[in-house]
Amino acid sequence: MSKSGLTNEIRRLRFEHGEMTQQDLADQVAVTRQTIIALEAGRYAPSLPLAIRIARFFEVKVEEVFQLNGED
Amino acid sequence: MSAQQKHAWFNLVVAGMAILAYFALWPLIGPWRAMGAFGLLGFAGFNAFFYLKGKKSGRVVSDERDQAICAKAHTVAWSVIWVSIIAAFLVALRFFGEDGSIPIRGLGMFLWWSFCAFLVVQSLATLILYARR
Repeated sequence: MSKSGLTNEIRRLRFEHGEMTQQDLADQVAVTRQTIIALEAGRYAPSLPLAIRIARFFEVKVEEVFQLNGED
Repeated sequence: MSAQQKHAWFNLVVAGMAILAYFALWPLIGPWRAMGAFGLLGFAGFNAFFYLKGKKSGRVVSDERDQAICAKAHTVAWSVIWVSIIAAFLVALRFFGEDGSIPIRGLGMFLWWSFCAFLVVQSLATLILYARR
């Protein structure tokens, strides 16, 4: 979990989408592979546009990809 | 390793070489003429090549995370430079007095060391931020 309290399901969604690689996802959402690694490790909280791009790519809602811990 | 990390390592090496060359030349030609060693800092301009390779491959070379880290490293480096400028003014005031004047070569020396310090601090901050984020 990141300092912001944000967790995500990117790794799970990636594997559910044909076990796509981090590089493939990075190319699809226009970021570097290092950013995908940092996101999955919870070391980086993405901007809203990036969060939306990732959610759109997986065809799910943003809340299904990112969760803010400590919130009901 | 991202292009920004390579960039930071390269700048660190260039700044380190310039400092080493300065202290190597000092006993031979004196502290003022040894400032020529800081000309090596010009090699820092070659770091653009780290971005060209990635661009050719069509992949993203720099994204929002890289830009955030870069901005933070810049802020840290500028803070250090501002503190060093204030410190230099205070030291100059102490040495030359209120009615004194600063030698032009002293100004040159200050600018070179400031530029060198900027490169070192910015590069170190970049590398530390990448390791932490």
